[in-house]
Amino acid sequence: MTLSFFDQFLSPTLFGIPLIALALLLPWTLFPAPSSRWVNSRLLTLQSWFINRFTQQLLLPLNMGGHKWGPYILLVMVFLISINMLGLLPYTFTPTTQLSVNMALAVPVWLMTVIIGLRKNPTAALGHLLPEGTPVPLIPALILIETISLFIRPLALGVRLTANLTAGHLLIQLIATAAFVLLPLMPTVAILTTILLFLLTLLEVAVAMIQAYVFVLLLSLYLQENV
Amino acid sequence: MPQLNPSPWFAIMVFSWFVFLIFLPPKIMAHTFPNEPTAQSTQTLKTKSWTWPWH
Repeated sequence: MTLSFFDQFLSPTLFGIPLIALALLLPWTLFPAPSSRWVNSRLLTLQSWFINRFTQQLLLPLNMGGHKWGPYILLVMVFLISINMLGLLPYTFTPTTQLSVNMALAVPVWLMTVIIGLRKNPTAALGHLLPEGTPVPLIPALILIETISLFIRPLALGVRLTANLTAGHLLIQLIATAAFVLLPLMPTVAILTTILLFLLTLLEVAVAMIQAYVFVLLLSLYLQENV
Repeated sequence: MPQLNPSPWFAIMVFSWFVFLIFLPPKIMAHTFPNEPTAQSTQTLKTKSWTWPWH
């Protein structure tokens, strides 16, 4: 019984096809190709608006050297937000609840920022390992701590996304099960639980967007340090 | 917990980056943002008579 709540995160296969592949592949059919006309469909207008505004917001604090990474960061955002949001639909599988998917995204991206830093301005990149004005006796310990914090970044990025989405999906399932079980026993409590479930679902929609944004924001901050 | 199981991690990494790099960029980069059209003035311009200064 305790394990069955985690069964929703088991990567399912149907006819030998891993459904994680379909869950990664199919969301992009929701992104139609824009035509060269002035006015497109409503969906396209909304997507264009989002892409335009988001890029503007993202690039505002970034200095000029980081602007050429704008499209790339935008792609990460679109990728994560689509998968997170579609994963909230009932009977769907969410690839971003899998630690392997998130680490596969986070590690190369973090490595990219580190390599850029070491190539472009190695002095500044290594200088980040020691904050200015540190008392001399603290220097060895602080360099050690900063180095660890640098290397723990990709882990934190991946685990943050995984943990948030896993917790959300698990809570939704727990409360839905509670409401279902309570319905014949205590109908009033069951109705209250259903209201709670509805509110929690709203929260999870927000979390799906916020976590995608947090991933991308941290990525842009790491990039900002290194360009 | 099955979501922490890294078993086919290489296949998952290659596939998600394949999708990320092959399918997304053409879709997202195809969005173009034309400049806002400037509204033309409704008033007709009053032109003054032009005297040819070299005559």
